[in-house]
Amino acid sequence: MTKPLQLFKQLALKDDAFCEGHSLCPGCEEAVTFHTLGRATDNGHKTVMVMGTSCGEVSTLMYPGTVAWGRGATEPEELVKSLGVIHHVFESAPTVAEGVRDAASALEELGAWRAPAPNVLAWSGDGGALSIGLRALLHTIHRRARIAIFVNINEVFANTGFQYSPTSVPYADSSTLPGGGPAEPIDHLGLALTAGAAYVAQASPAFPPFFAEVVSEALACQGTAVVFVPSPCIAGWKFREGLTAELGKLAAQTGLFPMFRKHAGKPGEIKFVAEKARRPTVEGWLAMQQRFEHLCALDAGAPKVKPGREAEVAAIQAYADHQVERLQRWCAA
Amino acid sequence: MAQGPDLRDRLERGEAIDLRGDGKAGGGLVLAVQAFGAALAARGDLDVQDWPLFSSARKGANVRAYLRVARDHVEATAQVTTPAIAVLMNEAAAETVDFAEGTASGVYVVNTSGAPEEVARRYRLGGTVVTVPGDALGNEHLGRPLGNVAVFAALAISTELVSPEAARTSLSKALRKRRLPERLVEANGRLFDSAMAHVQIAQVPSGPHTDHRRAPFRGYDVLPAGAQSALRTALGNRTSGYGRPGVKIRFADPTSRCNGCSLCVVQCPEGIIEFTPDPERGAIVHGARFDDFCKGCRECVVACPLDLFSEVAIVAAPDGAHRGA
Amino acid sequence: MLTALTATTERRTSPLYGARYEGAFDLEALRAAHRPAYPDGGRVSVDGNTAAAIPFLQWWRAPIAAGFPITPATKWLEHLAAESGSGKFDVEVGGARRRGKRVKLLESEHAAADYITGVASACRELIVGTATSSVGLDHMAESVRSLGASGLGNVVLVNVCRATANYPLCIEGDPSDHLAHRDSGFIQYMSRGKQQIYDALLQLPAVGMHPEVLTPTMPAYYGIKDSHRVGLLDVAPDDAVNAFLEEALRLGRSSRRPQAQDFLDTGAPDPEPPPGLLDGDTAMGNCVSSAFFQGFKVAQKERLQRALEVLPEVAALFERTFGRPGLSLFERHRMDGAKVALVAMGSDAGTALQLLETMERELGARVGLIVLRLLTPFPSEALAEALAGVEAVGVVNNAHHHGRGHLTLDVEDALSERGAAPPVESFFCGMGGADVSTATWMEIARRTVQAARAGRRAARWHLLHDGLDLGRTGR
Repeated sequence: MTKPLQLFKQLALKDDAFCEGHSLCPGCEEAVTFHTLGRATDNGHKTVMVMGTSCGEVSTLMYPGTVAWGRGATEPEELVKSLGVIHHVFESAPTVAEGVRDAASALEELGAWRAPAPNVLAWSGDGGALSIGLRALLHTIHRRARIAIFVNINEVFANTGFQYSPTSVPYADSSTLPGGGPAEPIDHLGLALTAGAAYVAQASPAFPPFFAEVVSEALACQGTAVVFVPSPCIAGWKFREGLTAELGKLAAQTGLFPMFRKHAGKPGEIKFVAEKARRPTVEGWLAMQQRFEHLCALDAGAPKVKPGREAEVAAIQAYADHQVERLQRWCAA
Repeated sequence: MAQGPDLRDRLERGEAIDLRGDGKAGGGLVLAVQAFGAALAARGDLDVQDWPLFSSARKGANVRAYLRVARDHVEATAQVTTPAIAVLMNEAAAETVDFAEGTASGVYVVNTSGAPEEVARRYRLGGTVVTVPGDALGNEHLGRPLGNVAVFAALAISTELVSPEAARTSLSKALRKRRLPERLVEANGRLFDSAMAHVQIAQVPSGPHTDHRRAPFRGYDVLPAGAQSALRTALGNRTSGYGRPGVKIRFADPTSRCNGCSLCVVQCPEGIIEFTPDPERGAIVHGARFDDFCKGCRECVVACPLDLFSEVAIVAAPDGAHRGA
Repeated sequence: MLTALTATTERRTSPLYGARYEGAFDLEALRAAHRPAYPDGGRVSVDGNTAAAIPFLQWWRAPIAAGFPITPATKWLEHLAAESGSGKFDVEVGGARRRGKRVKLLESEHAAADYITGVASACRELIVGTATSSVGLDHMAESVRSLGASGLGNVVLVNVCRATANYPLCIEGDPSDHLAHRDSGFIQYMSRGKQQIYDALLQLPAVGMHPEVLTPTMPAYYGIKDSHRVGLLDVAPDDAVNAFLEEALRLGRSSRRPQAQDFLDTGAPDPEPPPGLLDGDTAMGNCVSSAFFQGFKVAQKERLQRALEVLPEVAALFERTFGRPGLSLFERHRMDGAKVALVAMGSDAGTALQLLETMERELGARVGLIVLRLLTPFPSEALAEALAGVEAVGVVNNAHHHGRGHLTLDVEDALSERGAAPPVESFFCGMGGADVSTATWMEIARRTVQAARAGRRAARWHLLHDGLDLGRTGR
């Protein structure tokens, strides 16, 4: 008997609920995530996707010609293959998704819905879930809503033009904070874990097998699943085409946005982060992005810290190290 | 250069001159129009307004920009619908819009490697047709096919409304205002100088075939309550124009080496990799829908361990010759 | 354990809305799972909030309600929470004991509005609601204005009117919150007294869910003066409430089953309801550019105006069913032969109603009273007709306004429908729940009659309390 295909390969063969023809930037990691979600939800359950205001929304839900959702080339014959997608207001995705789930559960429990329980997903950016939407995120977790919340983290408010966001790495240049500032990113994983989500993960499509597992675990979770997806933003971070995946990998390997997953009550796991001595330092990641050009840039192919900016780069490195230590403590919790 | 005096005369008579440009987001159209506007304003005797068509367009999607200039205060805020000057920054934008819409004759400035007469035929233009190989110049000076500075130079020369010196100064100011590093400001300056020598201008007769006047608005269609809609309308939205100009991605696997690793399939942001499912190995790839939907992002090129995807550059040199394949 | 097999669904496509999977919901099962709140109906003594809560217990289409406490609406939520948790709505389904009524407690009003959006959009056959007031309504304002345009006519937002905001804070009732949301897109309706509050709720969802209206409803009543005042209420039996609603919902649906393409050809609205997220292959809440937005607003406005015609149809059915008047555009009292008309709204109008004869006796002129009920869309033509022939109008505003008063502007606009131009006196009283006494009403009537005799108004507005002019007459 042959070995079954790796999960991410199995997903690759599924019917995708996300279409080509969207207007996200060339190389946008969010689009990769949408395709993964689109395939993973081809699992015999009706899917409802709730989106907060974001690049994702205006680029995939634009009437009349850019609605980039739908499984298959035409309306499916089967209910479970169909898709309902809604955009309400900026910070509402987790709460609206909770309402969708409760409606489905009430109908099911009272005998009015006999199909399998639907996949209910919420999608927000760092604005919609961690800034203006932090209230909604934490309280939906607190109420143990049975939904899969995906939070796209690209360190900027991208949809409004890449302004500073609470997840910004220190000293990242942005239009509202030129040269960046010293504040460390908000501890989004700590907040979700403290609020008591049944499943908390940070996963990037730059690691396809891990990402596929995390997405599937989130959809299967019987409580609240929260998956943070660190996404390099080509237009906001300003890097050359083709570097999205490498930036995603380095962000994880340096410890800035490590790959992590934890079921409540069980030990957690950090992946792809080596021992400190063998871990890549942040300079390589910084040098690939124009938004850090004032700190560090490529010089004859190698990253070089600008004179006088050593302290800022050291602060970013310290944050990366701190993030790993913090998560290691959570893993044991 | 017959159109320069015509435009000057119109300003003298107190008329406003409208400009409209079409391009792709990230292609520099807005900056070009802003720089032109700033150069006009620097003259001191004109009032200028310029504005982009507001949209949520991101890198690669169509954008529009407008400018209105007059000797007296520009009061009118209605949209530009009959421009005296029409600009085409990225020819890919013209696949889905008529950049000459609303005109029957005028000044047309096109970023292209072709000659004005050929461009006039291609887009049915009558009047003053101006071309400049902006992408090639961008590649040469900036390492990117960014044609906006060249187009700005072409606007200055062909309209004769600003001197080249004033235009160059205004450009540097606009770039610094955008927080560009100084090395890039200098490179753009050199690009401007080079572009001046590559602008071509021709007078082309107008006629019925160059009449792009648009049909009047006839009402909104039946619209769904709450902007609810059917799904998958994006399937009709060809996004292959979003990519960098002059670059194509292709797939070649003549000896069937693809082993089903599926990395390209799951990492393509457009989801357009074409494959045959193999239950033991994964997705066996045989191509992708490059022509309609590829945005040239290169994720497949980077992801494939067997180098079955490659990027092919089609570079137009400043002299118009094509190189590469 | 899996229960029955997946219900077979037939896919019905609509070029506009996508597809709907008929049979996805077994509404008959949902109806059968309902345990009646008032199996035999009856007369009860309740406050306004309770009167507004009872329909949510009686509707089988409303298994879910949501909210966040705010004075003076809180009792609505508490009543629903207590009742739904009491066990009397529990039902055995498939061998398990299930809750027939669920109340969701959210962390804020904004969350409550978002939550009910999720429920309403998931299944458009469910009626889902919340109750709020003033600052709570404003806190959820972006969701309110979005829902107003969404087409989700199955959303009911009970607004317990209260003085809005701060500086100073006041938690007593006036309609300034309601009037701040005239353009939020909801059908706004005012009631006074327990019976009106209850009856309005029984009918409004049928107006909002009508396929040519598709607009959520905002039933309202004054905080404290109605919310916290106990009175008698005749409650109808659950069966009658639900049978009426089902019949009222069928008003908008044709007996034939047209294809979606029919309406595209004729431009008439599709009588089939749009799909929801669970039973549809569809997208809601798309983004549009300026090339399209205006078209949507035009269509939204037409749907709202259509409510002016649909509401009387629903009301007529209600009257035939229950033997008492249904929703009215406004109340009218002693208008036949009236020399002047007072136009008022809300709880305080009852005082005026009982003074009309005294006014005629003491002022020597017949005073008629119109009590506004449908606020948005405003029934301008009907009001113009009702006011035809009066020699002066006195409009009573209970809400702060930068100028002559919200309702005054609406009345002036209505009068202009027929080119009529009687003098209109504008009055402010009762703001923030201030008592509107007999003395105030008599002064209002006196000044309005005076305007009729003089042929012109005496001032742009009058500020009154307990019969006394507060000094600034807005010249």
